[in-house]
Amino acid sequence: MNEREPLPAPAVPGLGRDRHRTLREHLMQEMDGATAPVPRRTRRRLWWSLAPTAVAAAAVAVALVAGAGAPDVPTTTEIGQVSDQAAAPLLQQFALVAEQQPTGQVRDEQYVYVKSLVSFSSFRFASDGTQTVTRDAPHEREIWVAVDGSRAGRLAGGNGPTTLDPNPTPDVGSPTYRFLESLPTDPARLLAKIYADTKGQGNTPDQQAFTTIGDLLRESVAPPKVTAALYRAAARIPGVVVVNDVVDAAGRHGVGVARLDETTGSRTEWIFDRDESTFLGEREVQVVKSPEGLKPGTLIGISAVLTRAIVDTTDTRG
Amino acid sequence: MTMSLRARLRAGESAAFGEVFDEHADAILRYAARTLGDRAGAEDVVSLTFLEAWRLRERLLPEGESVRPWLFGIATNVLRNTARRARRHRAALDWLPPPDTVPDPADEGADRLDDAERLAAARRAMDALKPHEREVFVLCVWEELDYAAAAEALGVPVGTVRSRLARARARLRLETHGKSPARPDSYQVTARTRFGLNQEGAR
Repeated sequence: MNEREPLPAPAVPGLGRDRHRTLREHLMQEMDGATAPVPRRTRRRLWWSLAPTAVAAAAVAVALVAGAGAPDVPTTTEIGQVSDQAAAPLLQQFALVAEQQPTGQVRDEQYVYVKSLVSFSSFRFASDGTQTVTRDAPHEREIWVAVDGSRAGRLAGGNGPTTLDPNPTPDVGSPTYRFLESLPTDPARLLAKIYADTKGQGNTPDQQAFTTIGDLLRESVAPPKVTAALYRAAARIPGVVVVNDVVDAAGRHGVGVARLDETTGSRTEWIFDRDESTFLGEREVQVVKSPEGLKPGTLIGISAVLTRAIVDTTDTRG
Repeated sequence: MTMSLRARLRAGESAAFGEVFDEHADAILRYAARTLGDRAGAEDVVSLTFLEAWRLRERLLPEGESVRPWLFGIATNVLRNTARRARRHRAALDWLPPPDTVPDPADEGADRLDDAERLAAARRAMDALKPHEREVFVLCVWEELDYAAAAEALGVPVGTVRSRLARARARLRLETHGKSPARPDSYQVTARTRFGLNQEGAR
């Protein structure tokens, strides 16, 4: 190093052999899981589908460490029947219930806390055409996100706590409470914004709008009026159907509001409690054989929202 | 005829990414740690950088010398917008085993802690720089990329690298002139953030 430099380089210990191997293995598994020519999925592919391949990476590491991995978890499920019932009135009913919820005071220095139960499948496509599907056992996932995005958040679940970077520039794919609060509550305007802001993402604009709304509903807290507007906006998306009986990751039965991704052949299903009209969780299931050969009935991912709360610190739970 | 490394990377050959990871992971780690002032958070940046490299592999130019500037360019983008990038790969990172081999500073000898303190101190000193100047300074001075490589990484002309670096050095001289080095106790929190979270579940 040049002695005349005003600020010499601080020393940084390298990764070391074990850590290098772990990170390398992780990268390899991520690439391996995605090597098969797969049609473009929705942006949320990261949530359902990056996770599965990462699970495989975790499983490899787990062999060295200890813990998860669930060889006996079923990887297929019953494909629910699409109901004759229209989705729009059902979503309207959910909206009416949602907007009657009280709105509390939410302060910038607080955090949105969501605890859910999640389980993902992992896919391997070998060059000889065989495919292997495994699914991890449902496990808890907890997230804390700063109300105004200005501070780091926290993610717990899987393999220990992780800090989440602050989010100073929220958008529909990466919201904060303050951002959600700022969304239009007129369903037509809200949906127009979602289409505009997700332009070019996902397989089709309609499917991308549907999964984006699902993301906003699942792991966040929104003011009741916004939640209601999201339900009403979803009701306007073409191709949204009702599925009679769907079970979430916690085993709770509900009614599904779903949309088939025509490109991948998988159906995203939001699960609602029929009596309470509340959002229980979400499921993605292969409905027709996928272009890469995934069989109908394959359960791609499943979740159940257990707790939502506004909390004061990243170690407070509702 | 054997394919060039760039061709293999562009074709998505995982072994090629493995080679590149082996060769450059530590360099990216250093770059990230020095930019963040935090060694632990830097590991996520390494993972994100290589995941991004894989995702963006077709944008790698077919011709060229070392891929290091390309990787540093991706790492720079990751560092510029860690929040969004982290979301894209959040689920993946969720599953990455925590660095259990990284020692707990509380139990560790003074050497490691001193490293962390010096790292954080150096990062604080760079607060005097504008973000663009900081990037150029770290790439050219600390990571020892030449002007052309830094220009490639940052996607700016070589002349811009030169002028930003000159401004960065001038500003740092001004800043450090007559001042004693930053005191270690003032940034202990930064170095401990990640570990603190792991141990106590809270900041």
